[in-house]
Amino acid sequence: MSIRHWQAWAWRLAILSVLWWAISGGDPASWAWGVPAIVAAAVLMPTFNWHLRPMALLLLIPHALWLALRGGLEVAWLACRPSLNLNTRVVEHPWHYLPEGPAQLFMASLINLVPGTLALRLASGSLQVHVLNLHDDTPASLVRLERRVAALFGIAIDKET
Amino acid sequence: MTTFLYAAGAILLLANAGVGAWRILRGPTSADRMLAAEMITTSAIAVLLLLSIVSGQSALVDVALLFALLAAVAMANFVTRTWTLLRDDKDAREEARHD
Amino acid sequence: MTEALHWLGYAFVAAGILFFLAGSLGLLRFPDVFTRLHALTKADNLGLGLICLGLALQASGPAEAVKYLLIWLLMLVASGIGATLIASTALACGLAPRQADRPPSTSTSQRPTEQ
Repeated sequence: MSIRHWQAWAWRLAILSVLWWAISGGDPASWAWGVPAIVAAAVLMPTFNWHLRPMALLLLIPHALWLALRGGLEVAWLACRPSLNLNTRVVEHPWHYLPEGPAQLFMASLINLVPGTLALRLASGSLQVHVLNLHDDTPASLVRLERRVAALFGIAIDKET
Repeated sequence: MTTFLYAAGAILLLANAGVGAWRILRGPTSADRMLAAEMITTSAIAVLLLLSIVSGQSALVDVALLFALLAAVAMANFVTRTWTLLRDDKDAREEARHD
Repeated sequence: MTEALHWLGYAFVAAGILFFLAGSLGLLRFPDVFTRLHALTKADNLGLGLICLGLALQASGPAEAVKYLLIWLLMLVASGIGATLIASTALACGLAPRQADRPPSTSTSQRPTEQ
């Protein structure tokens, strides 16, 4: 049993305890049922073979909220505007940093929050993105987002290749 | 006053879900109907949350939580089923790329 | 202090309802299924998020507030993944996204320059 293994268990138990505390409304009597339920869930939970960086996650959450706010504002403005003149496009975003697997899937889901973009299809070399109203800086912002996801998964960013 | 404001909000959101129902009737594609169903789920959760304040029944929050959980589970189920659709013409794409 | 939090909560809930209305306006007006997905995933999720946040500010205890935020988190995961799934399913069924008739767009294939 390595340290990393114990760490994973501690994280799992801590997260499940917070969940139980929230859904039981903080009632102390509920822990009689809660502790067995938490332990059972921790044992039965499928394990992941990927690790997120906690610090990068903490940095990503406010950024994602900010993106969600901007995305919502933009779409609300476009929907309420009297003229429906949309510069709708499909762009290809080639993967610069992320390897195939959970990191790409995570990025594809996160893209739906970014102002005006929607992940259409995941191919091996690139991601097809539907852009509601294309701006000049949309491709660059996708690259920036990919770099953040790479940091989250602890993937080294090779600046040369 | 809270009661009145939140009841008004719940009625507005219900009308909002009505737009979703119209979209389900109208279509034109099945994808439109799927997304309208998702929109009705989201509206229903918001209505339940507001009604739990209006009626003072905190159990409605748990109902909303269950709705959200079911939506997440349904989508997770969908991911595994349509996984092949997501990557169907991966090989054709690789052939077409010339870099 | 509590009073101020309550008013802030009202403001959040009202803003959330406005986003819901804007989202359904988009659902009515946007031309095809892909653009409607944009309206839905962004505006409606933000609306639900603001309502949850507003109610969490008025909650009687921290456990209740966390429960509201949990509901939002679940919906965010569900519709974030769901939007891509609906889009790719629609694409696989042969629906082509409508595009603007302007010069072809740029792609991100050039290397990022800023660092």
